[in-house]
Amino acid sequence: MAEPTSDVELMLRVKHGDREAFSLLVQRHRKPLINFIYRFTGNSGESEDLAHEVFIKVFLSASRYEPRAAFSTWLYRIATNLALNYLRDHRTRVATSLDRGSEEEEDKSRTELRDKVALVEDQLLSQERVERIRQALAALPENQRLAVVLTKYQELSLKEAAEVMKCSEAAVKSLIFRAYTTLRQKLIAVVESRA
Amino acid sequence: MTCQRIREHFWEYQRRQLSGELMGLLDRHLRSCEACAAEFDQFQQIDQALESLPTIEPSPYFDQKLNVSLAEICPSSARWGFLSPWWKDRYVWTFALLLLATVGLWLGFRHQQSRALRTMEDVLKLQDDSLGKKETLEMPRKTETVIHEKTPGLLVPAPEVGGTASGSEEELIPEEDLPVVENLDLLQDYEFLKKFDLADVSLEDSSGVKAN
Repeated sequence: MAEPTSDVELMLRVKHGDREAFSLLVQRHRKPLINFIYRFTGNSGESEDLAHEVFIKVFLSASRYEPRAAFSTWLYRIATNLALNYLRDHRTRVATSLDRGSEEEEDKSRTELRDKVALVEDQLLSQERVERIRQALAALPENQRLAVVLTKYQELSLKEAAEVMKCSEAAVKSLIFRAYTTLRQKLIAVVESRA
Repeated sequence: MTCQRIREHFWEYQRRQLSGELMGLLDRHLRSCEACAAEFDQFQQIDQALESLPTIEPSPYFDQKLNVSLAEICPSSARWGFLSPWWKDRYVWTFALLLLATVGLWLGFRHQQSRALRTMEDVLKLQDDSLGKKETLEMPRKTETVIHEKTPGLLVPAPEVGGTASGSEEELIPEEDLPVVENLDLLQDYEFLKKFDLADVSLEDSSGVKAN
């Protein structure tokens, strides 16, 4: 049997109880979805569990699915709602884990530094750079972070991002502009040292 | 267009998503404005830096865990999943209810009709029974009387036709033979009965009676 090309076609099959079509959709979207949740929440450990919740919600809401918009828009809308709920429920815990994470990284880097000074220096710099970028992204307001993650990492168009965020394209553009301005202020040192 | 407005278009400009006119406008502006050019350069560096964030891979058990979660949440969906859209369709429910109501009404009507028929059958049976008794009682009078050939003036019942019974034989017909006598008019239409010698039977009967 030839694999259907469009997500909408697969979703319509899921709507009629086709579990195989659902498995194909999961295979197609699990990695981008997990990474979207990871970048938006900043928590890699919870991203898989949240992705599970998203897919379960997709399966349970399949009967109400109407192919008016792209499937990815609908998927990211569900994922955004769940991720926002998660962030609101775990706001304190996420902030603590981010701090703890950076402390652990520092401890780890000190140990490595003692063993392999020359080689590890580059890795450290790279890890530190990545960590600073991650922290700068995590520190953005939720709506700015969401706009950046959807357009930059998930490669959604401005229109699709606007549909996910339930706002206008102009609002998304404005959010991206403000996010990049903030990121530039925070990461200018990182960017210039790299250059 | 001001520098602020130009900078708001950086994201689309970098991805070549602007219209031809706006693309040309930004190209010209960035060539002439050093501040905006520097801003755009930093914008590109930040955009590139964001790409350095690593991606994470799903665990090898992601699908299995998801299937387990689905089975826990909707255990029936695996076996009856193909019916799930139907359960939720209100039109299907309406149709099913209408069908049930129609079948129920039809069965009820049939039941009532059969009861009515039974009653009617009972009435007819009662009627037949009562008529049968009546006819049995009236039978000797109803039986066709014919003038006896040998003894003119004597009236005998039809089965006695051709017989040599006397006037007193009318009262001697056994009761069990009365239905035969009663149905004789109907039976005589059959060819085989026409050939049958009724006279002999009557004679035998009458002789038997006589013997008794």
